[in-house]
Amino acid sequence: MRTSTRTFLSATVLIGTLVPAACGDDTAAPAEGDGQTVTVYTGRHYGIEGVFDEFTAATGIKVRFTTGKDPELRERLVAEGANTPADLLMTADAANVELAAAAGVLAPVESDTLDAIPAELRSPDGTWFALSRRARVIVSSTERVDSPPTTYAAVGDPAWKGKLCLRPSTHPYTQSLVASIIAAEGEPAAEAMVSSWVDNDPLYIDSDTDIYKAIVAGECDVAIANTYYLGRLQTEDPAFPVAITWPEQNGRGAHVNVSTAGITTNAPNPAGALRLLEWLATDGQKTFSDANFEYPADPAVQPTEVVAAWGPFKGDTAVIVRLGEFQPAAVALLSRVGYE
Amino acid sequence: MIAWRPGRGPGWALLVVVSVVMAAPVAVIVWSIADPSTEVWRELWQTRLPGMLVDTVTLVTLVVTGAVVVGTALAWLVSAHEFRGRRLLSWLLMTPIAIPGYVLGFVWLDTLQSPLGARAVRSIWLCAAVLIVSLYPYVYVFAWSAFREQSPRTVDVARTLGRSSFTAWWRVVVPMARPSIAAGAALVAMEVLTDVGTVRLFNVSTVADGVLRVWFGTGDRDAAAELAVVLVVAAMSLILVERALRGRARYTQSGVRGGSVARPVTGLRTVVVNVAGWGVLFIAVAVPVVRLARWALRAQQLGQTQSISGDLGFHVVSSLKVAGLATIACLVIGTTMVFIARERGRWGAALGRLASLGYAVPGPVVAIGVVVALAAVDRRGWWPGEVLLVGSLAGLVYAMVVRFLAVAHQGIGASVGKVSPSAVASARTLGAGRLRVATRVELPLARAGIIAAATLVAIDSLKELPVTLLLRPFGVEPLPVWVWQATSESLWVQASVPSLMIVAIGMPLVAALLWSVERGAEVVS
Amino acid sequence: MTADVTAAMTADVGLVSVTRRIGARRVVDDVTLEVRDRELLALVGPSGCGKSTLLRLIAGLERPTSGTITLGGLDVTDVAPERRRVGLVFQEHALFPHLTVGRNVGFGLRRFDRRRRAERIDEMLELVRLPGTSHRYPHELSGGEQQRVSLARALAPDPAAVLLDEPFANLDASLRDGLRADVVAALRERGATALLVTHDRDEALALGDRVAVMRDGAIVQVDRPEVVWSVPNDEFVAGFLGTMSLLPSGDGQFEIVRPHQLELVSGGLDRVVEREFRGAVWRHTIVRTDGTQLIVDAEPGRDLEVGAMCAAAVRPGHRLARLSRP
Repeated sequence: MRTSTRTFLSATVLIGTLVPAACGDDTAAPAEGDGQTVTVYTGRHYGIEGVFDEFTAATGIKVRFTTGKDPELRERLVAEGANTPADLLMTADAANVELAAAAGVLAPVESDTLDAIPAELRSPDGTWFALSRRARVIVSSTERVDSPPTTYAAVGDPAWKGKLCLRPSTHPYTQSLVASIIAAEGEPAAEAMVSSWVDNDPLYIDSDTDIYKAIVAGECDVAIANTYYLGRLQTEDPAFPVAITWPEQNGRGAHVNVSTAGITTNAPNPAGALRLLEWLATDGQKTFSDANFEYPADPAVQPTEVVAAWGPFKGDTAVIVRLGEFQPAAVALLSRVGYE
Repeated sequence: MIAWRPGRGPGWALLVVVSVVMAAPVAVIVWSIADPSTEVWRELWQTRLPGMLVDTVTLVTLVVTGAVVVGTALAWLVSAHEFRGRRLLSWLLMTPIAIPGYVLGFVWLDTLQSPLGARAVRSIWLCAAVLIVSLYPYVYVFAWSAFREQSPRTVDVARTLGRSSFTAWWRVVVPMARPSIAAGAALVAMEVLTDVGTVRLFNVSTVADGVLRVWFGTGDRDAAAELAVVLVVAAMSLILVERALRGRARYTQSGVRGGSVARPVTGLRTVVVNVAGWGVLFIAVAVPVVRLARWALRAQQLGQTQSISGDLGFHVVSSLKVAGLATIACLVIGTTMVFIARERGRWGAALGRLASLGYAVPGPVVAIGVVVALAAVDRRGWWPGEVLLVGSLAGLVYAMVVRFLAVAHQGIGASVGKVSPSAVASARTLGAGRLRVATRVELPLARAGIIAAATLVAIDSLKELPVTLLLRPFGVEPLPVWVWQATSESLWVQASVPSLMIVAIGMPLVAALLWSVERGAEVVS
Repeated sequence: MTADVTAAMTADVGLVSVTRRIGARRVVDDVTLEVRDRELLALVGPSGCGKSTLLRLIAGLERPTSGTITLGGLDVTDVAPERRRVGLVFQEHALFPHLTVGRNVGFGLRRFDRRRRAERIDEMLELVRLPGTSHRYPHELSGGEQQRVSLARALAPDPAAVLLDEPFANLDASLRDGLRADVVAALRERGATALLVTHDRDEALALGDRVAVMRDGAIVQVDRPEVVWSVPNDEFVAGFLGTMSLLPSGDGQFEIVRPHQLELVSGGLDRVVEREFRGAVWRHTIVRTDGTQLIVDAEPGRDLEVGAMCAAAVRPGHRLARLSRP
């Protein structure tokens, strides 16, 4: 018994020395509430550091951030509860921020400055605000397609059988597109439409960039993809042989999703978070959107040159605040029709 | 010796506490099964679940078969034949283990896309091929160490009894190495069951992929967790089936010492041996590394050699810190458990398995389980001071231990188990207490095995993505996070620098692993 | 072609000028040797003398650098081991641990049909006096039993020759004698031609129909046991096979004398410096006036104490072998 006590003690000592060593740097401590640092969980990471640097330069408030996937960051916020170090949650998708709001981890904000964001691009209760818009549109080969489809339904035309590229249903972009179709046309019509896509035997590629490349390679002629990837590709090669068709221009407009931000319920530094949010909605709009070739949420702010060259379009923004509501139905629908 | 029974002594208490702490994140997730969401299940069953099951079974079968064939055959080539460059080849054949599957996946996807076409490349066959190439080293290292333990006399006898060198290998050498090969195969099966990166690239819908699909798509964590339980059950069944298959037969020869069975090869056989060995290396290592290196040069030209969080040095320091602490923690906890558990028979073994549960669950599920479990502790304020566990380095290291303790526990257990009882008895009669025997006799004798276990854990935690992604503290950004940030936007050029760095750090670890196996490390029980 | 080469070429096992070089070392050096039909040839020598390598050359597990190996009169120098029809028995028996006893014995009976294989397995287990053990696993048997299974396995396919590499070295002395007798009996019953490699001179002398003594890769002497023992070719053979002393015979030559060939007489110029009890005799070491030592056995009752003065003389009727001083 004595020797085993010694084993126990030595093991305890070893673990005891290890754990404090691992905790040694106090990065896990909530940020001090002196307004000098804002802590951000962000599901959007492309070019984000430049945006925060600019904010710090403008305000003197430091930003520390961690990147991750939208749903995982949401789970983490829920689990942390009152102890969260996060002041601001940023997502790359409206449905995910809606789910976070529904889980109670986002606090409503009132601010006149944030009125710069159009009403349909923020949650009615003020828990989250869109910062940039992304259009999910129909893209086609400039070399092989003369009259591309002009509606999402037309993508299901048998003419495109074997010539269609789509993003798998695992991606939020696909899910929110289908959610918007359910919202606009009802579930039976949406199901018929998505079924017609599936009947065209699409090539599923889990990367919009690769979808564009597949069109160039002749793997498919038509696809549904986000515009900002084309922005990146056209910056490298202005003659990139893929064209955008704005869908549903005679109806509700092209499907639009948003990058969003919301202040957390238990933010240690809500004032700093509000400063950042307001800055992103105003002075930071251009940098934030341009970093990823997106459309600013504030219609008064002009997009970057490459993006502006695609011309104006009508976007289906009315549905944005309800995308989260329809997302589960969209996921179920995609499963039912056998969308990969 | 004292007769131990469950429920007695501080050692027992420690064992129970450690096992419970290690199993807690999985338990939190599995708990949801108590209240099954039947509706989700019905829908799953009517839609994707049958396809997921078929894909999972197909993929696991293909990859395990492939990895066993490739790994065993290569191990035989380098242990039964003597040729120029044998030692170098036997070392290099282990190196794919340092290349994360998600890196190998995107490199090969992009490489094969142009010749095969984007449609043809996204198939379960190519997915299986990539997984085989990245996972065969698990079988290879186990088979290789098992072959080394065998007496060359056994092959000699089989030869004189009328079997050619191949059939002697097939009928005698391989069957005797079966437990080791099976253990390697089980690891491969686990890796395939829990893979969520590579399968997605190739549009293969496995159950693990389905867990994320349900969870991220609907936000229904409980339904996702229930699906994850399918994986845990599958993994447990694998282990039990293997145990049952062994039956009464034994696979070791008493009083037999290993020795080199290598024979010189000549003529055509030299060509075959070299082509097979270097050919696999070409596919598994040369092509990906060259591809990555060319992208990295491009990244250099474009000035994209740093991430949004910092430069290469910063990420390397993060990776080394996390992998180092995770390895030390796994070793300390694994060793403690081995020494306490072995005197406690079946109960000890059961607790050991309980603590190893995290290895059978996909990384993202473990990550969420850890967040939920640690956040519960944080909320209750059990931990002193302002420090929170979620988002701390300790929390991340804990999650790594939950995920990889099985690797350390198994390896250390097997090596300590091999220490001669007479050495222990001599030490005890010379007045050494149990702790002194452990630290002065058993651990030094089992050193090679412990180093092997440590390097495996280090390599695994260096590559681990989902746990790192969700639990890393501010200011700690290990390399896989950078890879993920780039690959999630299909920016292969930017992903190449951190990917190459992971491989570079992994290489000396692979060397250490082989060094220890050559010195008789048991990599499995 | 010399007579021994002709003999080697037609014998069951034959080696002609076989050399095996590893680097600069001649592990087996120009060996010409034959094992005759149904003969048990004991190959004896100190460890490292190349005897195991010689056995591996015969089995085909290693290739000679030069020379010819024949089995049953056929040149097998370049034939793979699986086509040579030799049986192997090792010190560490090397049974296949994952197969039952029956399947171990049947391992070499690939070309037999089921029924004949089962019959042969039973027959072999009967032969080695282990009937009914067919379904057991090797680890369930004792060491001696495992070695007998190993012999049964080697004999089952009716090999041209059985090669035994130190088969009894791992066993207790008490088990060893019984097993030796059983193994020799089994070999004789099957009419097998066998080569037994051993470092134990008593084993070689007791079991071999002929004994070949090997040293530094070369065969120094081959003959019937009593001949190599009593008429050794050189001092090495003499010394290796048994305790002996050298007596100068005056003409620059020496005679080899075994301890039992000398008689100890009390009183004289020599002195007993050491003695030990060996059961039937006391063995004395005596120092002669010229400083040389002699080993002398004497029955109890005729023994002398350490320190006693004595003289040693060759017993009447004993013929001593002569040697030139090496």
